[in-house]
Amino acid sequence: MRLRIFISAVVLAGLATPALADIGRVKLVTGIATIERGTQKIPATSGMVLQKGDTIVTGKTGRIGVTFNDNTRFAAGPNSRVNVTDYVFNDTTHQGQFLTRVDRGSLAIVSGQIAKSNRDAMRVKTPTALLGVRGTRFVVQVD
Amino acid sequence: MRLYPVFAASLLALTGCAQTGVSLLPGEIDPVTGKQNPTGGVAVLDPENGSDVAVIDQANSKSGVRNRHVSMKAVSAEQLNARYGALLATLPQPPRLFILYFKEGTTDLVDESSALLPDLFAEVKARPGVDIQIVGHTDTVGQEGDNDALSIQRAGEVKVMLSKLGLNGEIIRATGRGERELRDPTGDETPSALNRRVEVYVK
Repeated sequence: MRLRIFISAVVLAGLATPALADIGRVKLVTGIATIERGTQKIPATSGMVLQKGDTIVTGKTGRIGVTFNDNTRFAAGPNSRVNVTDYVFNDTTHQGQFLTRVDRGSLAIVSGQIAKSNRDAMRVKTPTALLGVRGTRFVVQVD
Repeated sequence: MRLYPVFAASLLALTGCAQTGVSLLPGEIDPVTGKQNPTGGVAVLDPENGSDVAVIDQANSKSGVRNRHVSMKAVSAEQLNARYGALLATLPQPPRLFILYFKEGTTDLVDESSALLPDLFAEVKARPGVDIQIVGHTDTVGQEGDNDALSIQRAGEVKVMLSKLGLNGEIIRATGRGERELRDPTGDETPSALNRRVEVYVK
């Protein structure tokens, strides 16, 4: 009895972990776009799941569109490098934290539920700026 | 005339200083209501302590930002479109919402909701890299914590139902908002069939 409870807890934990790590999904890719995850470089494809810490990198003609769990949407243009530094989102309360770093290139953003939850819960960092997102549709360009 | 940009570019390369531009666009047109969403704004924060330096809140504007320095200028919608049209076209479509109602105490859809299913399945098929979020909602009867659990449980049941009807369970996330988002803004402890619902977002 106790063993069975233990096993199901382990199975549940095993099932829950990848789901919790998923923060969003790639929708569109044109040209070359890569997801850097730790030391891995994974070619981005439509339907691919993103995790906190992932870096989106696009080539000369690459573009990529992503929708996050809180309905924030991203589009990165050519020659871009964008890191999702922090992403925490509670589906029930809509509270969260979202920090994105744009190292270079262009990123279009339509903000979602995290930006609505608390002032500056969503922030974007560039080499020369720190931005607090208060809605709703804008482009950050780093040259 | 041609020297200046070359000079500016080499100066940039020498100093290694990146330039940050922020272009604020008008809010999107909501595909369902046809109304324009508010423009909102982007705050420029002090990189040291996070306090507000300025708020960019003018739609159709472009601002140069360097730490605490902000210079904003108006640009036309045409200019922004010429510069960023292809980028904006890469933004995924906003999620599409389907609201489902159930016969009281069951996971059987009411007829009006059953009638939505072909549309829902077509939308799932049409979207690249699709995923689905199911959001359960309760009315205000009972404790908030119990309603959170109930709404998540109800969403889970709908996930099973939609999986049986042929949707891939791996792309479905079942979540619940308890009594936080009322369609019918009742007081506490008020039964409401309109509030007891499940929303399906096709993303």
